[in-house]
Amino acid sequence: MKAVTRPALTVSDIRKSFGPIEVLKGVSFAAAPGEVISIIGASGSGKSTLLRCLNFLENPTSGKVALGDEVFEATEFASTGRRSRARLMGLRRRMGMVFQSFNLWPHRSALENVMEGPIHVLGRSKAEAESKALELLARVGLSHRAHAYPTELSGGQQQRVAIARMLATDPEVLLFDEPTSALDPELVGEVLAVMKSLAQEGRTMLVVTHEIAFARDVADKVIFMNQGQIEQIGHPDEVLTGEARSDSLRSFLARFERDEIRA
Amino acid sequence: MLATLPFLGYIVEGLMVTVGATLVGFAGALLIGATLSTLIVGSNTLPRYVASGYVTVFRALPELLFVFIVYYGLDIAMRALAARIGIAPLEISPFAAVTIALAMQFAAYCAEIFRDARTAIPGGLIEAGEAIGLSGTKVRTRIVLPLMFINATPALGNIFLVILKVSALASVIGLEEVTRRAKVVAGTTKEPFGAFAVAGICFLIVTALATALQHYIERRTTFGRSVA
Amino acid sequence: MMSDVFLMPDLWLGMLRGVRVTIAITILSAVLGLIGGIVLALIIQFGGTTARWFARTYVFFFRGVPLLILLYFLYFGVPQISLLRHGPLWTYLFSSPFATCVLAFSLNNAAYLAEVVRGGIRAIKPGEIEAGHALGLSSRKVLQRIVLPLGLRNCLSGIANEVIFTIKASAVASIITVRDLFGEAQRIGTLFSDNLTPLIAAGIFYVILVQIVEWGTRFLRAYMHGVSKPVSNSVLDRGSRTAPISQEPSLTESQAIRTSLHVK
Repeated sequence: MKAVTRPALTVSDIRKSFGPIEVLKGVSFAAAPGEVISIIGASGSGKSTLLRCLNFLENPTSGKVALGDEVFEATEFASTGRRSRARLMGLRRRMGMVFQSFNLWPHRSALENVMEGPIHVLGRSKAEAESKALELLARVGLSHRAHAYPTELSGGQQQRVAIARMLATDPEVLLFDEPTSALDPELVGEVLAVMKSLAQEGRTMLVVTHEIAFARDVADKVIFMNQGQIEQIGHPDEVLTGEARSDSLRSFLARFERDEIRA
Repeated sequence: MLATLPFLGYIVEGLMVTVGATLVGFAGALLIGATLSTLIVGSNTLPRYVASGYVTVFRALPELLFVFIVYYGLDIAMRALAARIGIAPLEISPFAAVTIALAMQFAAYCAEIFRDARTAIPGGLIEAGEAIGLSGTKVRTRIVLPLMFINATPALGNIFLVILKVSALASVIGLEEVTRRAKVVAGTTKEPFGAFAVAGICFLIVTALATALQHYIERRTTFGRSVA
Repeated sequence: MMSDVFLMPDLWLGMLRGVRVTIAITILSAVLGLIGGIVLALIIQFGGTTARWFARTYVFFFRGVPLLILLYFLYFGVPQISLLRHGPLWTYLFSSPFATCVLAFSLNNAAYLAEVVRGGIRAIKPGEIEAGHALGLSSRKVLQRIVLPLGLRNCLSGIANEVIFTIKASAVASIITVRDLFGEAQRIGTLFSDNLTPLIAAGIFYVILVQIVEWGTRFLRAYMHGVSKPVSNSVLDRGSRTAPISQEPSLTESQAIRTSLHVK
């Protein structure tokens, strides 16, 4: 069924070099609408860079990113012309991103953080933005903390506000860059719960994570990255427990199994 | 000691000049400093060298010396200009000389403060703005500038207090501020003890008020962070 | 227009005479100020309530009053007290412009250095002091062997800043007839009826003096740490770490910042 619908996101042969070091060596995949893809891999495997190349926080060296039918060439934002800036803003509006370190603006309350996008990106009125923001904060279970400043919130709460902030611009594809890595273990659950509910809502999500359980239980597809390339891609069962696993994937997973046994 | 009392009002009135010179000098320093800091962080090599040379020199020059350099320099420039267009040279106002000197000198400090305030902003906060699709201008006005201002407030408050005290040097080129007036009174009453004590207290009061204001501003801009 | 005066040997001889006075004032008042500053810092950090109040008041007063007014007060005001116009205090201190300057700068330095040294002491890890006590060292030994060496080492750049500011501030000495670098520049200016050139020459000397202190500090730090670390070139040094927002909840670190930036 998914095969007939056009993909929400198509990534074609993305390459990225920092100086002489090639961090991404040609990455291609597609995400169908409503599909949740988990990206796993050791640190340095290029998974975060890949995510940052998709919304051009990092300019890829070559390749293409397509959102629906609209195609964005790797090099088109290297220049800072007015038109290409506007196109870039449009692309970023259609993709949301959640960062490892939350990156909430410390001088704005939770509510104001969420209202920023609707007002200053979508051009909504303040009243409209506020009711939408309150709705989204309720969605992530933080209505009661709407007027708190980021420093008054726990890490888990901050990350949930960051998720609400991302949702406020109605993105088509959600990017999560290790959203739980900076959290104390007891706070991880609340964030994963919100992400899980977004997945069940039918959002298209790309989740770079170390949470193997999330990948196993929630994702439709798992990508294992190794040394700047997709080494394995497929259904979670196949990638996480299947027989066709590569040695590097086995040894990567072994570390988590050890951890899980210990826990 | 009592001989100073009738002149109390005269000395205290000098505060208008003291605070006026401080405010104008401070405003000028902020303006020049902001410009310098954009040059320092800029990618052009030549302006960067010029700006950092500026900072090195003005951090080292005594304020008193520079006040005189500006005063004499303006005077020479004025004479040259007057001779050129054939009018009688105007007197250089000590107020102008002092505020220009203070602004130029403390711009060096302000430039460093602004630069540090800018670099202290975590890159992620800017990326977060870009990621939701804010334009470059919006990122600057909504995120970078407010955070820069908040980061710079404590150090700028400091600079203000420093300029306030340094402005006392203006008395030496004849600006009728607190110190100068105290000196005049001391000469008249032959009671320098009282006159200079009054002048000192004037500065302490302004310092205390400015500090209180700064604490107030800082409390208003804690954004939930605990105040130690 | 300034080139002819620039070439006069008298100018440079005068500068060399003046720079010696400037250096003497700076060193004397830095040393005396540091001693005073350490005492004040220890009182504020470890003293009793009353002593602490006195030390705090001292710091407030001497940081709030412009150096020039302090100088006028000591030079013109204090001799008004007839009791002081006799005896050794008069002969050696208040009748001498040079000594009065050193006194004024020392009093002022002590107030600023008190805050600098206190910052250094507070930066010592509690464990390092506890380790001394655990060894059985007396409180006095802990102070001598641990608190002071570590504390001073922590605030080296703060002390260096203070020295730099003293160099600059010492120009005020000329106002009460001391022939320091600035005083010499003014005297020569009157002599040659060119006010500007000697001031610029003096300015060059000040820039060199300040650079020497900065190099010296860098060398000292490298020596103390055994490796040459890049040292912040900023006079604002500690002050310029403008309480990074969001990284750490420390906006009101301004307390520390306020102590570290000061020009007189």
